[in-house]
Amino acid sequence: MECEIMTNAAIFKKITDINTFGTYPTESLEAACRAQISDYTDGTVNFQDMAYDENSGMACFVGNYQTDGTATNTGGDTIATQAIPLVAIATAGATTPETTTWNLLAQYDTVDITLQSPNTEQSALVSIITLPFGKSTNFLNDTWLAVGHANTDLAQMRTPGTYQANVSPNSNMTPLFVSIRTDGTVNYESSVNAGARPSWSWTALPNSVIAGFNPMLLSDIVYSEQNDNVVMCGSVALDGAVGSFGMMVESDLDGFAPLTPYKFGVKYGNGVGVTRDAPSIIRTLAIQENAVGGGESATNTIVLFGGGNNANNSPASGTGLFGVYQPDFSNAWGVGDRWEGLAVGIGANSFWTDYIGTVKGGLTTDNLNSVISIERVTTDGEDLYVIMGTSDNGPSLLISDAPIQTGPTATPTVYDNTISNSGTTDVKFPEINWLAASLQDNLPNGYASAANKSAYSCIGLANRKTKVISGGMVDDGAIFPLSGPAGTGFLLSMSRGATTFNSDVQDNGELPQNTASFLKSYYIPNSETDRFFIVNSRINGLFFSSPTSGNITNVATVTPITNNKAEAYFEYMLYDGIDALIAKKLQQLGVRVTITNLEWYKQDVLKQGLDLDADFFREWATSQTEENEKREKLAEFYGASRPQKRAVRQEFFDDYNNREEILKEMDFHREESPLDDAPYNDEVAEDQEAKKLEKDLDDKIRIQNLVDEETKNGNKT
Amino acid sequence: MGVRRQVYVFLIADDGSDSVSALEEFANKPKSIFTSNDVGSTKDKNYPRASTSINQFITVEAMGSTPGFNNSASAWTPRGALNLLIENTFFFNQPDGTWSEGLTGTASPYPISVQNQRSYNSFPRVYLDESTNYDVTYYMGNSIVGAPDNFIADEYVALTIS
Repeated sequence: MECEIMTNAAIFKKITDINTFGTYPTESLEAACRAQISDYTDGTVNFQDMAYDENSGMACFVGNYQTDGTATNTGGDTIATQAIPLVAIATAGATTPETTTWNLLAQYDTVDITLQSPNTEQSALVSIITLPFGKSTNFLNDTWLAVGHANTDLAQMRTPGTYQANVSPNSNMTPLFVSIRTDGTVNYESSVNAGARPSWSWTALPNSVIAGFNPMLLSDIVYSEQNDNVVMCGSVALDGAVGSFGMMVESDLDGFAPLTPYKFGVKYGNGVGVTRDAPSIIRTLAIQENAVGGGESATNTIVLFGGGNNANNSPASGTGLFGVYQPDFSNAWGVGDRWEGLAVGIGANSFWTDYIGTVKGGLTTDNLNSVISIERVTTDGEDLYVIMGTSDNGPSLLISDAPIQTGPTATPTVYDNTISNSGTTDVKFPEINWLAASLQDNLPNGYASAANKSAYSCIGLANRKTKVISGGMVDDGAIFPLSGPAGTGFLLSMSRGATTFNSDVQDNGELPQNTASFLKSYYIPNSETDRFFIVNSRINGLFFSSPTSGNITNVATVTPITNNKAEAYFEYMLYDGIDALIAKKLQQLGVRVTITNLEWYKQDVLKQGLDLDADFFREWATSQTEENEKREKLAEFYGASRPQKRAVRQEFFDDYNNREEILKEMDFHREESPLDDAPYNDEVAEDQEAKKLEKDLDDKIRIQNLVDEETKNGNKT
Repeated sequence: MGVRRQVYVFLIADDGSDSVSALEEFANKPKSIFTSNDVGSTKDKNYPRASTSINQFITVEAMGSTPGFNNSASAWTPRGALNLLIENTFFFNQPDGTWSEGLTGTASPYPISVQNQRSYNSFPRVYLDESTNYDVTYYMGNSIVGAPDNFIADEYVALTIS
């Protein structure tokens, strides 16, 4: 009969071997901040993102800290109390945070010395990527690229009278781009120091209107390996007015040559002059460079983007941004642009309503209000886009097979992985599923239905072939808000194919600390046990509650486990020496070998007074011991590690010289049940009595013979 | 010298002490509980194959393993079975003589609990005579780290909003 064997999907249920910074304030990071940054305000360091460089074994973390107002920039100006973007390179012990050696690089020159208003975002680096080793010419010698934004006084920096300060809910920020090397060299681009490429010198992408817009935030970056170029995203503010748009930026920087500008375009405005809670932002990117057949191609670069087009977070607003973008450096835009939205935050005809509503049966409250993160996860053997965001009903999740296919809309549509520059484009998701309910059902209490919580990151574990999802609090309309919702982060495991979720790790208290606003996870390559980083971050970092104890900002490396175990039990009786001999005798007799039977037989032998007495066994055992010692010496002589061989033994008696007697005994016992412990005592007595009589008779006959013989001899004499 | 009752307990656990590949490699084949090696192999272990000495005699008293057959998302079971290998012959075979996984943990559980009772009570006497090579093998049918699933969903074609 064949049975159907049920298998469980590979997931992890616990984390173990947790290595953290240690305990505040002596933890490795906090101690390094106090030692290396003279203007550091205790307990304010906060990381937003990290990237691990497999080639150097170093990790680079980016975020910010609060200066205490004593710092000076290169020009000698004192910097007012504010957030300072921070680059933190873990130069040694990157995967063991407790002993990490830090090289902390405060980016003083990227911020204006005076804190400007409106001030809703914090100066910080918020996203970082690792460049593939040895691949880039434009970023030669650079290991990491990071983006963010910095406090700036644009009205002062630009030609006076031609520009007005940003108006709330926008923030007086300017985009920040840095390249980082493992030796601690940081090159930066910020408008603050009126460097070679201030944001007002940025040029327009083809056919894009940028007049009256001020690039404000950068929130994500992807690297095109096929074109040695980058695409970045963020937000622009209208010049001196309420209003903002999502922004896409391209630049190869041409080896940081100052003549090569950034090119940017804007879309998805949230209304000019309309009061909004937050600006419109494109906040996340994911890249593919595949021809339809799957091979890598420099002319098929497609970037998926996501973000939010704030509409005051009104219920059922569905203001999440989602679309596809083909860079001008990959496919020249020509007469139009190759930047197409699938869900643009307004109107009923969008991806959310068409797919989540019509196809999957979701409610309008399931439409995404903001796409927080899109990640292409490949390390677990599946190639998937994981799309994470917020909805009125709670954290939302979509997963699509990657790469996707695109083609200008036609009858029939020819998919060539290009995006039309003059009309609509069909975007084929080979396999896609909406999994918000699965995510929400498996989140810890309090997370499931909250509109201000989202997953932030998803990684694939190469050996276990499963995924990790982490997230927490989010502010739909901000990247790194000065103030934001309070809460904690979450971590859960998801099977590779997203059929099974598990949040056991959340409930067992293993997480390094639970006061972080959100968690992000990062895989450590080439780890046999699938170790990964967990970065604890605060969404409103600088004004987090005063640090008094515990880990404020923390990074942990952990090993995922299932804690499954299987046990086997093997019980046996070992008969040694004389007892082994008797056990074998019992076996030959067909008697069950038990301690009781063995003792019976031993007593029986002694009682019968056979030729074999106890001395015989002692002599036999002594001889055996001597032989064993000889054999062991020989074994050592030939090498102790050799497998044990059957020893040559000397027989001191022949097992078969009493064969007839044994057969008689076997016949006698054959009638008995092997479960019986011993024959009846009266049988033994009768047997012994018979032997005595037989011996007496033999003795009498022998004595009589001797007497007769002596008598005969006497007569002769 | 004498008679000794002895017990060998084997444990395999996904607790972070072994690499994932080692854990995956253990499943779906009989493994020695003494060395965790494949049957007959002494790979990576400085152990000879188990054998009785010249003046030893062993009687097998009991065997058992973690019970359970089916898996669910929340409860993993090993689908394990124990077998005895004497010289080159497995004790538990299929009726037609072909190899069998052995005595399952469900039939002979360890540890015994209220929910898991031994249903295989009359364990046959197995004698290991002196100078006999033997092994006790554990077969775990379900991977201890689980089986990776694949993402399966429907195709969807979306139209961009120009």
